[in-house]
Amino acid sequence: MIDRDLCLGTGLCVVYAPQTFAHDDETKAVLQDPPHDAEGDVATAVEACPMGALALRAPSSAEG
Amino acid sequence: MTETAPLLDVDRVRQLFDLRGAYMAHNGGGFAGDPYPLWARLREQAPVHPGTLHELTEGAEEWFFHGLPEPGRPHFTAFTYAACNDVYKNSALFASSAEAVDIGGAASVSNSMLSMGGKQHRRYRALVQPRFTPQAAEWWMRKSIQDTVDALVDHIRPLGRAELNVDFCAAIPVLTITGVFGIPVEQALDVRAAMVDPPKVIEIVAPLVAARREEPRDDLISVLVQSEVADEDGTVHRLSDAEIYSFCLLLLAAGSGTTWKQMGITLTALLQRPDVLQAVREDRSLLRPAIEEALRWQPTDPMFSRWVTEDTDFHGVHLPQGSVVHIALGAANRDPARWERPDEYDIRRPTRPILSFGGGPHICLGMHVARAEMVTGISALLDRLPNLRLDPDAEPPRYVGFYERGATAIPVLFD
Repeated sequence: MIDRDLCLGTGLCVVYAPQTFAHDDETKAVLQDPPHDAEGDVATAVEACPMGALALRAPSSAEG
Repeated sequence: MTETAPLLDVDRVRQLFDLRGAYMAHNGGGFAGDPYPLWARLREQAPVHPGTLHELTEGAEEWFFHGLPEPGRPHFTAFTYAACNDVYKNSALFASSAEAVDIGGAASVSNSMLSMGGKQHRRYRALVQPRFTPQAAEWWMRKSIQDTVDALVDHIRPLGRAELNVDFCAAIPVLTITGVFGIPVEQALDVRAAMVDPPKVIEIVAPLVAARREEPRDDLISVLVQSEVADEDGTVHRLSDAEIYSFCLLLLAAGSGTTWKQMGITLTALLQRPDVLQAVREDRSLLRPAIEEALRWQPTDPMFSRWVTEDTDFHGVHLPQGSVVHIALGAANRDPARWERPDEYDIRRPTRPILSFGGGPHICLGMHVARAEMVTGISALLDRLPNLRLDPDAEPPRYVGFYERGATAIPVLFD
């Protein structure tokens, strides 16, 4: 999950998981469809976000 | 190949960029010890200690850096990764300056977004962030990094030897940032020399700001003059000249002062490990991990500071409102709770986030540019200087400095 209000566009997620995250034209993180990186890389990107704007969601989660 | 003139005056570069020279003396440039064993002991004893990092480090003197000297305030230093990371992540409790920024005030680095908080910081940072993303690194490469690197290698290649700190590393960031500003090469070192005297920098920048207001180009000052920012009450205004000058002072200081040292640190780490250097030469996908590992293991700026906005209990100590917390990120980057064999430079480690570019909303704006400069620079050396190696007859490079660390000199030979 990406919190657009928190996202500052620092781009760390794009560095650590470049096939999962990208920036839109407002320099906010968006998910690539479909995401490609190894789970560990995505977890690293989530941990690296300096704004805490990213969270992992369990694949089985029913929430959209 | 004919000899080409150096891009910059070598003697002047040496004076401006020698860590042990007068320019850096105030932040501990002469410190020659290895502080890491002592920092490891302090980190084992407690996550947070009362005192500044230099007070806690044997052999250090009363040097100045971010958050110093600030006499009259209680000082603390955080050493574990968890404590340092918590300081960065909670930017409301740990502010990046003691006072609010005076937007109407004189142009200065302390009146830039470096010292802003909350929404004000977010609004100002958002103006330039699009030019500092990983994707925008391409723009920087095209605008100035690649040409600068190529010209520097053209100059040293026929000589068979070089001192990489002065002949190469020092020149790249200052020419990259001034190039992207639209400042001519002849004035690049004037800007660097004038960083201690902001009105002199503004003298150089002011005519460019005026010219770009008339006719914008594809450069950073044009981005700034065309920017609009919304105030607290929603009023939208163009940036004033003073606001732009403050931005310029911050970006020029940060852009010209740090990356060259980190590039020298990385080159030294590689040159002192010929097998690792050879591996990177043969498999260029190892270069980024080699740069990241040098950032973790030997960050050029091992400490930054924050101001405590309310009384709080934090990792075993009580921090009173108004105290200063120093983030010993160099120690945090070697926390054994997070990295195995943390004191080893090992480019094959699993990737984990590090604190070398800071953290939280003030995380280094230029980090992707810095990475691009280092990748481009080191790649060019490996591509174009066959058998690049340390000069066995010269004094080997050593890491020195306290609040700003780097390599002494990097004498190399090549075929």
